Amino acid sequence: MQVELRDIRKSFGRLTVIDGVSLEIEEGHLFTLLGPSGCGKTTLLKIVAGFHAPDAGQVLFGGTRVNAVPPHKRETGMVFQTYALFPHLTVFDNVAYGLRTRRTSQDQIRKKVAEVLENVQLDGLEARFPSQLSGGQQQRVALARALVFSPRILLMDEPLSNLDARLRISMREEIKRIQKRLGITTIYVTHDQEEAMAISDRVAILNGGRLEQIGTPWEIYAAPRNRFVAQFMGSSNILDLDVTGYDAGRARAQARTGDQVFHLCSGKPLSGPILVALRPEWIDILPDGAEAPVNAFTGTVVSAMFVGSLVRYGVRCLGDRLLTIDAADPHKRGIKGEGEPIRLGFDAERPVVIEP
Amino acid sequence: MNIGRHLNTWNVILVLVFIVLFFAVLYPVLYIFKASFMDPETGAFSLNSYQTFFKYPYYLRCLRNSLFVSALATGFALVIGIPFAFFLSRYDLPGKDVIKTLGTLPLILPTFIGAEAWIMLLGRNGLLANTLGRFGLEAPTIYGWKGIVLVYTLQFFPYVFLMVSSAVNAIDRSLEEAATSLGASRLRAFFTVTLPLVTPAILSGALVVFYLSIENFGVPILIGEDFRVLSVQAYNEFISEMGGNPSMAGALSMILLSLTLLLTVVQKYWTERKTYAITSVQRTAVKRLSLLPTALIWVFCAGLVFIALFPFLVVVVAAFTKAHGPVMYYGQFTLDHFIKAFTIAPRPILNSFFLATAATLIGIVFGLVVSYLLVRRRGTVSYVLDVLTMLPLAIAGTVQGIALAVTYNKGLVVLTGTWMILVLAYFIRKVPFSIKTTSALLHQIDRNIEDASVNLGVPPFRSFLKVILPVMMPGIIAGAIIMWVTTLAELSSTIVLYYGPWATMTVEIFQRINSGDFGPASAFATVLIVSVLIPLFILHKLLGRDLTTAL
Repeated sequence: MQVELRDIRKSFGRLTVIDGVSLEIEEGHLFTLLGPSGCGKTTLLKIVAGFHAPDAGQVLFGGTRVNAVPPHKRETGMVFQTYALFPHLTVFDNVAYGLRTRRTSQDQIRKKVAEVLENVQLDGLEARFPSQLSGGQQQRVALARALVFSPRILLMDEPLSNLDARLRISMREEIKRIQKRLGITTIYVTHDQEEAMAISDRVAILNGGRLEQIGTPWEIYAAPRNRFVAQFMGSSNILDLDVTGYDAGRARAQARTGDQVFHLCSGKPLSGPILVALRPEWIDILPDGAEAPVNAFTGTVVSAMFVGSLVRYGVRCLGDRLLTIDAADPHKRGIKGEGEPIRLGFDAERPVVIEP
Repeated sequence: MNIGRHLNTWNVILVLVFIVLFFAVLYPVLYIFKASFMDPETGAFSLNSYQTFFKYPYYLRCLRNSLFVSALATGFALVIGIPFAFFLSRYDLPGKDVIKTLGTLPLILPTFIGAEAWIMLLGRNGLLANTLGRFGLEAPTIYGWKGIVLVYTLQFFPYVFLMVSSAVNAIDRSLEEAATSLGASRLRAFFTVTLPLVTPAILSGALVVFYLSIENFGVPILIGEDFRVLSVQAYNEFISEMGGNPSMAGALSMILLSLTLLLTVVQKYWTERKTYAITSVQRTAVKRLSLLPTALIWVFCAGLVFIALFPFLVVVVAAFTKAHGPVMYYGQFTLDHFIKAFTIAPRPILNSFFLATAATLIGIVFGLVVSYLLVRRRGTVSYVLDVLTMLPLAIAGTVQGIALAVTYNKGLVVLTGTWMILVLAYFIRKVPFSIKTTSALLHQIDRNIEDASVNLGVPPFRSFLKVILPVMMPGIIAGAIIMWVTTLAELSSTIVLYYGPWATMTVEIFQRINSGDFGPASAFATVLIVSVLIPLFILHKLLGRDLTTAL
C-alpha cells in the first residue's frame, strides 16, 4: 500500500510538533523517519496510525484519504517501542488478538498464528506469558502480533531501542528480511542513524517538526543537504570558506580561519561565503614523501582514539580549527601520537557544499 | 492516545462523575456552610453561631480539648511508633514478620471497640480495676482525656510505624556507608543522614495521627464523659437540633472541617515533598544484636503489639462470657450473646453487610472510572477530579453525616431517613481507597497496550474492557476489600444518618456499650472483628497485598 502525507501539521497546546511535512512512500518500501528525540517522528507515525488527528493536512493510503478513519479501522499493524504486549494473555493469545476481533475461524487463527510465529522463530513458545520472555522474544511477539492479520502498512516505533547492542543488529537484519519477504510497506521510526542506513530503502530526516532531507541512505550520506543532516547522519567536518574564483566547474576558496586555499568541484557556479561538509574518512593522512593531492595542509594531532577498524584523530589545523579524521587499517599504517605533526589532503571532488 | 477526540463515552462519564461528586460531596458541605451563617428562625444572614462559639468557654473548651488530646496522642504515637519502625526494619528479631503484621492490625480495628474493651478493663467495674482493687490499689480511670489519649495512641501508632519504616527501607545502605567513610561515627551518621531522610515521613505520620484523633467520634463519646471534644459536640448539637439549632451544628461542623482540611492540605504538601529521589535501593543489612539488647528490643516491640491488641482479645473473650448488664462473669462460658445476636437481632448484621456491599459495588465502578480518568487525562480537569474525590478523606465522619442529613432532609430529593443516604455516605467516604489502589496499578500499566489493542482493530471502549480491566483486577479487588471492611467498621457518619430499622452493627454495638450491655455488645463486636479480619486475610493470602496499598 502506497502512503502519502500532504502538508501535515500538529501542535500540542502551544508546542508545534509537526510543521508542514509532506512525503510519499512507495509500495513495499521500508521507509524510515529518522531524527533526534522530540523531532516529531513518533507523532508523525501516530498520525499515520490514527492515534493523533493532524491539525491540518491529509493522510492518504493508496490514494484514498483516511483522515476520518478511526485508528481501529485503519488496518495498520504497529510495533511499539515498549512492545505493549498484553500482560494477561499468552503469546498465542497476544498474536491471535487481532484475528479474533476480525472474526476469523478457529482453524484459520491456529494456522495463521503458527505460521507467523514460525516466521519470527518463536514456535514452541505459544503458551508463555510475556513476563516469561526475554526482550528479544517479546520484540518478536510484538512483530508477529502486528503482522498476523496482514495489515496494509506496518508501523514500527523505535522497535529495537530496548534491546542490547548485539541483539539490535541481528534483529534489524531479521526485520529487514521479513519485511522484504512479505513486501509490506513499512514506516520505521528511529533515532539511530546507523540502524536507519542499514535497513531503509528511503530515509526522511526530521528535525524540530520539519523535514530536512529525503533520499536513499546513500544519497543522504554522500550529499547531505545542510549542516544538521551532515552532522546527524554520520559525522562531518564543516568548513567555512570564501569563494575567490570559479571557472568551468572548479572553485577556488579560502578558509575563513587560516590562509589555506582549497580547490573544489561544483556543478553550479559558486561565489561569496559557503559551507562545505567533509566526512572524516574523506580526508587522507599523507605518508611522508607522498605526492600531495590538490588540497593539502598540515596540522598537529590532539587526540587519537583507537576503535578497532579505524583510528579517529582530532587534528588542530587551519589556524585553530579542530578536524575529525578517520584513518582506516591502523595495523598497517600505525597510529600517530598526540602532538605529532600530520599532513592531510583531500581531492577536489570530496567536499559537499551545504546549506547552513 | 488522544482521548478528547475518540472517547466520547469517556466525556459523558466524566460529566456524570462530576455531577455525582457535586451532589454527594460539595453541595452538602456548602449547604451547612450556608446554614452556619443563617439565623435558624428568620433565615437571615447572621454570625450568631460563630459569636456564640467564640464567646462561651463551653464551646471554646471543646476546641481546646480536641487539640489537646490530638496533640498528646500524636506525641505518644511518635514516641512509640518511630523506635518500633526502626527496630523492626534494622534488627533481627524472633517472630519479626508476625510482629509486623500484628502491628498494623490496630489501624483497621474500629476505635470504639477499643474504647469498649478499655471500659471493660479499667472502667467502672472493669476487670483490671477490680483486680487491682482487691489488692487495695486504685487503678487509673479510663474516663476523660487520659483514656482517650491512650486509645488513640495504641490504635494510631501503626500509621507512624508504616510511614517511617517505608522511609527507612527506602534509604540506600550506601548513604550511611558514605557517611561513615567520610569519618562520621555510626551515631553521627544516623543523626546527620538517616534521620533527616526519615523526617518527612515522621511529620507525615504525625499529621495523619493528629487528623485521625481530631476526627474521631467513637472514642470520646464513649469514654470522654464530661471531657467534650468538637466532633462529639457537633453531634450533640445536631441531635438536639431536630427541633432546635441547625446553625450551631453547622458552625461546629465548619470549625472542625477547617481543621481537618488544613491538616490534609499540609499533609498532602508534605507527602509531595517527602520523596527524596532515591534510585536502585539496596537496603541496609538487618543487624543481629547480642542477646540482651535483642531481648530488650523484642520485649518492647512484642509488648507494644500485645498491649494494642489485648483489648480486642478481651472483647472476644467477653463475647463468650456470661454477663448480666455490665457485670461480667469471667470464666463462665456461654454462647447466649451470639445466639441472641443471630436470632433475636440479626438485622443489624444483615444491614451492615448489605450497606457495605452496596456501597462497595458502586465504589468499584466509580473508583475504576475515576482512576482511569485521573491517570489518562492530565490537566485541570484531572486535578479538580482528584481534589473532589479525595475531599471526603478530609472531612470528619460526623461532619459529613450532618451535612448529608441536613442537605437531603427536605426539598426535591429527600434521602434523610432512608438506607440510601447511608450507602451514599459510605460510598463517598470510602471510594478514595478504591481509587488509590486502582490508580496505583493503572500507573504501572504501559499506556501503549491500549493503543496496541485499538491498532489491532478493537474500538477504544472495548479495548479498555478487554485489556485494561483484566490487568487491573488485582487492584480493583484489593480496593473493594478495603472499602468493604472500612465501611463495615464505620460509626461516625452512621450514627448521624441511620434510622431505626437501618441500624448497623456499629450502631448496635455503640448503643449496647452505652447502656452497659457488654455481653451482647462484645458478641456483635466479635462478629464485626471477624468480618473485617477474614477479608483482609484473604487479601493478604490471595494477592499478597495489605492495607498499606490504600494508604
